[in-house]
Amino acid sequence: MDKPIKEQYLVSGFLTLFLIHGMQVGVGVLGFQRDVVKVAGYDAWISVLIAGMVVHVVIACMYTLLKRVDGDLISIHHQIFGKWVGNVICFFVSIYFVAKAVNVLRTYIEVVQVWMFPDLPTWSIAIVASFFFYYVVAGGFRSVVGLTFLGVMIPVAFVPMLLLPLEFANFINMLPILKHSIVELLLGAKDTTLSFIGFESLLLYYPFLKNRDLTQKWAQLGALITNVAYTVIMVVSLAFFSEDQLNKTIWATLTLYKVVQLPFLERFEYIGVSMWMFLITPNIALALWAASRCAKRISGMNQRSALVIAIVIMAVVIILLPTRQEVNQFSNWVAQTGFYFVFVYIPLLVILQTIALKIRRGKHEQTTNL
Amino acid sequence: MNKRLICSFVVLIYTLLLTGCLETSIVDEVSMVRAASFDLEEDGKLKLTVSFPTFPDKGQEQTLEQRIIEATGETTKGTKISLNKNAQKPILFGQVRVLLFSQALAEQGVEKYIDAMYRDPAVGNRISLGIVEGNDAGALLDKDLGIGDLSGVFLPELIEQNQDTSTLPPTNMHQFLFSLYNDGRDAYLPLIIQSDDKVSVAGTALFSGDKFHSKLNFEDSFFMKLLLDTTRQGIHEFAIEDQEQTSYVVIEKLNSDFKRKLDKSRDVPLFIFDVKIDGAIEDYDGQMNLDETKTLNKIQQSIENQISNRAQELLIQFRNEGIDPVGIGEKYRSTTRNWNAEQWRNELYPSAEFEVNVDLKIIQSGAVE
Repeated sequence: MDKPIKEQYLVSGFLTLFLIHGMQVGVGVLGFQRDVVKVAGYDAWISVLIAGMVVHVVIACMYTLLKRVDGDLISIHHQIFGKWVGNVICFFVSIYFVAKAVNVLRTYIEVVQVWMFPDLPTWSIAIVASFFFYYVVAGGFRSVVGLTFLGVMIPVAFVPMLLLPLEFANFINMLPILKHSIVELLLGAKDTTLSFIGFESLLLYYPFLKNRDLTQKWAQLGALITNVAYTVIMVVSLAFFSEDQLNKTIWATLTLYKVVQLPFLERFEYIGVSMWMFLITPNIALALWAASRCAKRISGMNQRSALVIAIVIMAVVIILLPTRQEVNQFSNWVAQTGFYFVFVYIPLLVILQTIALKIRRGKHEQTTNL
Repeated sequence: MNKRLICSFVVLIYTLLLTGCLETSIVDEVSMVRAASFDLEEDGKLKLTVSFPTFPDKGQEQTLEQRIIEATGETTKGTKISLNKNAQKPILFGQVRVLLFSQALAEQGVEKYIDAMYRDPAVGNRISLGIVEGNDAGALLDKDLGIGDLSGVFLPELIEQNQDTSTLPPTNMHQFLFSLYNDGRDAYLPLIIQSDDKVSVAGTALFSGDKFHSKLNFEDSFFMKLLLDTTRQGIHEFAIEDQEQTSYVVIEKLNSDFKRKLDKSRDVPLFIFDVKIDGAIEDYDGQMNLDETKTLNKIQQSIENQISNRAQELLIQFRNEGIDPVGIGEKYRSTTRNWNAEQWRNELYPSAEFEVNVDLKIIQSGAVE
């Protein structure tokens, strides 16, 4: 149906692992504990596990969709809704990815402003970042993947650092297990959305993978690594903070880093905040790439021009969000939209696609019978 | 290709130019507060006293001086503004090591002052907190300790040293906040006293909520510590009553571990503490031969009884006073599905009973018989 991507633009299948994992871990993880604990209390880690399971199911759904059409989200939409409606929906998806990039970058700038440079103007990072991301994404999908690979490998050094706060661990906080009802656990799982979403960009880069039918195991493995990482962070936080203390702490993961004291480094969180840049660049780059790719596929415009538009929108919106309340409000919107898009709309698409294929096959049989 | 070169060039220029635009905090152009103390003025205002090192000019590197300034105000950070009025260089809290509160202020509650520090990302979470007996914690910073070290260095190290060698129960800002915001635990802080020419740790200040409640002396602090933390390489002196004479024995390399159990089978909750201690006899001024198993057993027995009796008395004392520095409530919470902090405080805790079992092992008794 669509033109196949040329061989030299494809990337190896195992890189799906980095793409899925790198796109999931971003700024959400800096402070997701508080939102979950507000609903699910000290059973929050179970909520994280539930959300992780759902992610695996959604990835399986996406592969079902993609294998049937052997294309991307746009082909799926065209297949189900036809050209016009499909394009309109894809336009909103494109906006969604820009919003996601805005959310990640603006939250990160906020963290930098609160923790390191209080008088750093928002626009300065926004503008530098715009040039940087144009440079990366204009290099094509392969350069985005390269960045993602680095963005996953370099922060691996953070993992052991997260275990150091266990010096003050008090695991008795978490007992008894399952004190909260299933409904509360599920609502808690919903509140982790912002930290888990991002992997839906698979719907757009799927045609760029080599041996794409066989990449599902890598995608699932990438999601599994995210789940394990999030569960560990959650368990460490629950053991480290008492409930009301955690409810007061906005960026619990960074506050965890605050007690890490190395012989040569008294306060680790300053390194943590700076190194977090490595974690969020793949997020933003891939979201911008997905947005511009989407725009290109629906309008046929040059992807570079689409990228410039996306980046300009991103920079303007970032500058227009000056206070914590607004950033928070925007995050909530993105989380809400992300929740309905990823966890409701994608499974729904599978059903719609099945129906669409049945009807079409029915028509096809009718025509052959005639 | 050309476009990309221009693009990367622009990024490079930006990063070079923008780095110069932010407020800098160069070490000898700011006043880095090492210790801060909080007092209550008579009119209810906060008096904040800070001590920071000053760096003298060239030629006198060996004499590190410190300056102490104070100001009054309503809030912690508001008072910082007034502090800046008579400071040569801007006051920064990023390197603060110890926060001291006078007992008079602690009786009114310390949460808002500590909260101001927790809110500030520049302040570490491991900093020590302490309560100073009386109503003038500021005077402590100004004291000439006569030991060459500045009070901003001396005080945090004094507290840390006594917590590390396991005589005071360990705490820092994180642990204080952890207990403060925990419905099954009350906070405690080290207590510092000042006399004419010296400053010393005197025990533990117990809190009820964020308000100072009562004092625990140095001896009892050690017993409390056995009930809430593992001890490594501690040292303690015990008195052994033996018929008509009293002898003293010092146990060092004292390692302890504890387990809490809860027996809910009876009408009232029974908490059982199993404390395991091992150590070596370091000093003994009695007449008995330590090489005989019998005497050694006797000493062990006597110390075990002492610890378990005193620890039990302390637990009952805490219960009667309605405070919970050892985290009894936390243990109860971990075994119940319908935890209700109110009910615990008002009905269950006052009726709780305690049992402390101590198992002491003396590993060796030094190099002489």
